[in-house]
Amino acid sequence: MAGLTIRRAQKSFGTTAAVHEFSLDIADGEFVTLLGPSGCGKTTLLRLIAGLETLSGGEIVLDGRPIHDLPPPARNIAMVFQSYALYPHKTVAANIAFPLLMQAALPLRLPGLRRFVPGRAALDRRIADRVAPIARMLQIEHLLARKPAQLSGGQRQRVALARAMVREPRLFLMDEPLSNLDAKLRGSTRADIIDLHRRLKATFVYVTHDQGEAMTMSDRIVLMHEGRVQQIGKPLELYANPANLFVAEFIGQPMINLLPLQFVGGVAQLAGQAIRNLPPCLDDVALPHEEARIGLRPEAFALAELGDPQALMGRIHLIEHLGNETHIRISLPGAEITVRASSSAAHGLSVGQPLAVRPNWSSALVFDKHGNRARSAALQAAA
Amino acid sequence: MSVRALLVHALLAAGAVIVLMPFAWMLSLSVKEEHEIFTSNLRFLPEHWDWANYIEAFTTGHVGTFLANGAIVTLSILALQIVTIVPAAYVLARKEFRAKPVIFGMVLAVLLIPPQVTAIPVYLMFAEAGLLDSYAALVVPFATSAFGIFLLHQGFKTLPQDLIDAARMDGASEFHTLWFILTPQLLPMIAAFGVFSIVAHWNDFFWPLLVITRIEHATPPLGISIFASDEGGNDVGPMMASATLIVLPLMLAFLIARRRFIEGVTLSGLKG
Amino acid sequence: MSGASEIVALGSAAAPTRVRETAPPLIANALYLLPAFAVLAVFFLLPALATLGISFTDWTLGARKFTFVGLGNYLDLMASAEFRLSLVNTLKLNLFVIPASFLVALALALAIHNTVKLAPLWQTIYFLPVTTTLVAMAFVWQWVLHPEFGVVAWVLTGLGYQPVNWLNDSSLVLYTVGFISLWQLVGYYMVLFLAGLSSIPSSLYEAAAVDGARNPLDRFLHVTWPMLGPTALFVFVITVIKSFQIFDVVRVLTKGGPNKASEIVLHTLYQEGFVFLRTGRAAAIATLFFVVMLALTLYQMRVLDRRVHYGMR
Repeated sequence: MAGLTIRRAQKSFGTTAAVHEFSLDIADGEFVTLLGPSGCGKTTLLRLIAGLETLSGGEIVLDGRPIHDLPPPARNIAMVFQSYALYPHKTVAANIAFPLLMQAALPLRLPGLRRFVPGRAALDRRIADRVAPIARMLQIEHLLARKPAQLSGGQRQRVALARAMVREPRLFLMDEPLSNLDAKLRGSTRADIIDLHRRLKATFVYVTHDQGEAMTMSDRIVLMHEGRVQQIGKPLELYANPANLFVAEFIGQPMINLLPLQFVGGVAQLAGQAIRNLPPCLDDVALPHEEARIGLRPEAFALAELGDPQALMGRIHLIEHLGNETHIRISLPGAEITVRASSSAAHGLSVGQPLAVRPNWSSALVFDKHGNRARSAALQAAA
Repeated sequence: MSVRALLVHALLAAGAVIVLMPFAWMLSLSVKEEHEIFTSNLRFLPEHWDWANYIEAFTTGHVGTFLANGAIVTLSILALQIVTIVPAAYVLARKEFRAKPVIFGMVLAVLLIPPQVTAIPVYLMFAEAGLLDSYAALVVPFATSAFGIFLLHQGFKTLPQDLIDAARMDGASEFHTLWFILTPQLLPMIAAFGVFSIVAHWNDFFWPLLVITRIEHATPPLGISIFASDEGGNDVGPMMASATLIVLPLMLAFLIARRRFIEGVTLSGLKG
Repeated sequence: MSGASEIVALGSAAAPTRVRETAPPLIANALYLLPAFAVLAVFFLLPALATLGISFTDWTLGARKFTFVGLGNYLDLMASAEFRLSLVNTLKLNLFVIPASFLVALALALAIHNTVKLAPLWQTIYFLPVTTTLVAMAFVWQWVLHPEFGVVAWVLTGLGYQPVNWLNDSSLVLYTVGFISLWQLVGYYMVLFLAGLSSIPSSLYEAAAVDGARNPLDRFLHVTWPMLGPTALFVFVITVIKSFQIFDVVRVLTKGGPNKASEIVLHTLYQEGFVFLRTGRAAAIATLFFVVMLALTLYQMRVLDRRVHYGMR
């Protein structure tokens, strides 16, 4: 079975553990994103796969072969660095060709002297033949003679990609490759990388702290926090069914709304407002917990008539018009929430005005006081 | 530790022995009696520790005089340099006036002149003025430094204009702004320059050799060379004691403030 | 690590902020500039020109009269066997000191850069001689190298060799002087190299490792050396400038001897100008020296400029 398997990988620097017992199976050709805030261990994990850091425990298996004891060159893995790490003294062509040059015999690897080594011309032709199609594919053919300093950020990024592709590795590691690009370029490069992944049919492991990037690009997301996996799953799974509060808050823009739920004399109070008709499924889940929080995505609300008994009442605090939709921030007695509404529905609203919104209970998520998902007894029994 | 790392450390240690050898030998000779020095039966530690060499360094060698002279000369030079460099660098960095390119060109031109080239005419000036064998001859030619002006000019350029504007709005005079608002921002740079200047002038031999003949005004390197020629170089113990005392101040400064010191000394890389 | 790179950054890399005239008092400007520029003019610029002028005269120190001799001094120097010897000695000395200092410093920097933990210790030890007064240490070296009572002689005898008279053997003296200079300055060049080494981004080594650079030679040839290139050029020029300025050791230990075997240009300049009082001739030597140093320094400034503007960001 091809693909990458990581079993109980551990890495600690001194006494601080950067990666805790990490296990993951990545299928051949899959696009997996390691997502998390800075310092969560995602880059360390990537560097462990690349061989730039050594494991403190566990194993890494690529295509059925344990690789964790091999030096980086022997792993046949390509990496795109956050800073691109282009060799500033080499031309674009020489940068792309470098991994191939390093496979040649020693005399052919000597700068300057290599021109006197027999077989040099043939090697250079072979290398040029491999570089050319890649440069064409990434549309950097016209830049081959330039030095990195003469390129724009986006062009450098493509050169780094080309250098990674030239050895035709089965596994690509990418360490925040878009973080040094401006917002506009980031969007188009994102599409280019997805396209590249489809065409190369190789396995991609991609590190980012940007949940939007992770959501749009990945087959699966591994969300990490403080060296531990929070959840592994498809993007929409993480969005709709987060394992815990951290996942729920990290994924999704604008952020999920969290409303405190209390039972006062057997009556549910959500954000300080008594809720009649709390759906029985929620009631069932939340009741055993003294303090719970209900998570509702901004789109899980509908604007309602003032006085609607099923609605939450508040006052508009801020209106953000984005054109295609409008984000309305509403102050409730016990919380502040953001509601996503269509521009037409929001038309005519103004700050300070009272507003009623009706939660869509079917998409509500319940979290206990430790931030874990509280699931209904029925669901737990089923699982 | 790998075998290779071990080998590297072994080679570095061997080199260190060679580098440190003269220091060890200097200290060793400085506490030996004469009969222990002039012997082919060598040993590093003396049989009998003889501190008399250090006393003799002061009495016949006048090492106290040159250490004091060294301090007087280097500190006077540095003080004069700061007083002349700071305003000049400030004006060159922050003001626009017609003669600026010419004046800045002068600074760069002086950077290109090695000290040996100006020695003859400057010597003549001091000889004509009857100022040979004086502190003035040691200090005045170095009352400013083109390199210092160049360096601080770069420093003043990096300071934000807002800082100057704010000081003006708050009613500070230009003098006050320069010395008490802007100059403190450049203290690290001035400290580096200070190290550079003190090291250069403490160790300078060529210029004192020309203008000073008597031990009363000799700086450390000249002083020890006068001592050596007066005694025919045979008073080894006291000579080594003097050498120890001469190299000690800068060496201690280096060991105490390693980073700062290296920063200052390597500044001269920009100057040559 | 070292401040050299930092200083360079302070010196020129920092983006200049908006520079604007704050007030128009031109008299204040002049007052601020005057002390510094009076000193620069009187003690540097005019004397440099005066040296050039004197070099065309037959003036001797103290004489009240002199005549212009045109290029006479220069022609005399070129014709003089003694001066030619001095030139040859200077060249020999530099051909030894420059490459030796450069290579030893580079080797030390590479070795020390890789010994992560002990690096500060090694750096301190090798930099120690830079902080010393060379004249004082020259006298120490005299006794370290003494053929009868010195440590080196003692070691050589112990190993079964004859002691060597390092400073009195005319075939060795130049190299001995060169070695003492190397001893003093190699730590200085080493620190400059170390600054260059530590400014190479580690991601380049990581990229090279992922790209298949397997052994230290590949890393050196494809990352370290090309990235160090500008620093190396810069250090090389400084080595040349510092080596041409060797004077102190010769003056205090050999006075050019034995038999003029260590007579070098700067010592000849001193002798002609301040011992034999042939001022015109000394000025001609100073002018020649100036021309060589000028070329080197101008080249150094160009290199420095390149060094600062090298790299991607």
